[in-house]
Amino acid sequence: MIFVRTLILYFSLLMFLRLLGKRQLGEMELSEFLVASLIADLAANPLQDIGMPILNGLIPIVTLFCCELLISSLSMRSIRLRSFLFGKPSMLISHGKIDQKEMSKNRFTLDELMQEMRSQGVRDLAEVEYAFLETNGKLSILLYTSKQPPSAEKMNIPTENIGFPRILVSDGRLIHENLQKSGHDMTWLQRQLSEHGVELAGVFLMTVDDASQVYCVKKELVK
Amino acid sequence: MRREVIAIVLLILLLGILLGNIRYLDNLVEDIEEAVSSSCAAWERGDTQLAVSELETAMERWQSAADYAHIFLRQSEIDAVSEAFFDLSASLRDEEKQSRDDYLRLFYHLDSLERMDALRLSSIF
Repeated sequence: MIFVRTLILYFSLLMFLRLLGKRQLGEMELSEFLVASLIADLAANPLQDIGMPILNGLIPIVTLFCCELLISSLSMRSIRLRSFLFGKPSMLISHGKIDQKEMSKNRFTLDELMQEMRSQGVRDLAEVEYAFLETNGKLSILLYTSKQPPSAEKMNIPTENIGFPRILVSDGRLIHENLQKSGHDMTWLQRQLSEHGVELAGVFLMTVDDASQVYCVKKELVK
Repeated sequence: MRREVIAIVLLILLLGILLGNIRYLDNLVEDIEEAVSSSCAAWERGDTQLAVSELETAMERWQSAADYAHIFLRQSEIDAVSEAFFDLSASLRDEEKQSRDDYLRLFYHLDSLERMDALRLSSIF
């Protein structure tokens, strides 16, 4: 019975939260939010009430996870299902003009818009060309091209692609997988350690990028 | 894709367990009710000895399902049925007139076990 109740509860809440709109969700997608909010409570009940079989907590949790997995998988395959379940991004500002109807539809106030802008380092509304309220509740702001910070490319400054730094040693522990992926071996690592005058156990953080540039931080004595 | 298949298999498995549980519980309650009905009929005929004996059969059947009950049923439901058994047994042995009520109470608790897990609108909502 609890299985059927869980299914009914899941889909009811999914629909209710869908109707509530994306503003309620914070940074999670609808189904993730739903599972996160239900699971803590479901797990707590059989733990608090020992007279309740633990299956009463486990069955709904497994059911919810399976539903979440299937819903997210199906929504990846179907655009229509995705937009039905999670909605579509709303364009709150288009070509620099605030869409008041869309703001009202999403119950997004001007104060909240200004707050989001400030939190993303945008001073003036006049700098914004587009603003989208994403399905996870976050606001994406796109500035006019003329207001965007200059990039090296725009300023014709030659750059070298150095990739991203991989963590080789974390708190004295070697991450073998990253060492292998960086294309180096233990001999190279030992050489780097001796160049920095430190042993493996004494390294707090060591990274290497694609240009083989090494960044090393030694462990400090914490009193 | 493998995870999705596992999710579908798990859901089907859970559905299977649900249906199996309903069936098992139905059979268990049916067996117990049958023995309790025989006990009740014997008591109505004035054969208290047979009534006690039939009731003991019903109690044994209930106790044989103790492991199942503790996994699938709430402790309060188990306690309610067990208490109803013991009260009825005591009133039969003491040949009290309230046995009729005790029979009704036991039937009610047994029905309640079945009702709670049945696939009916009333038990879902």
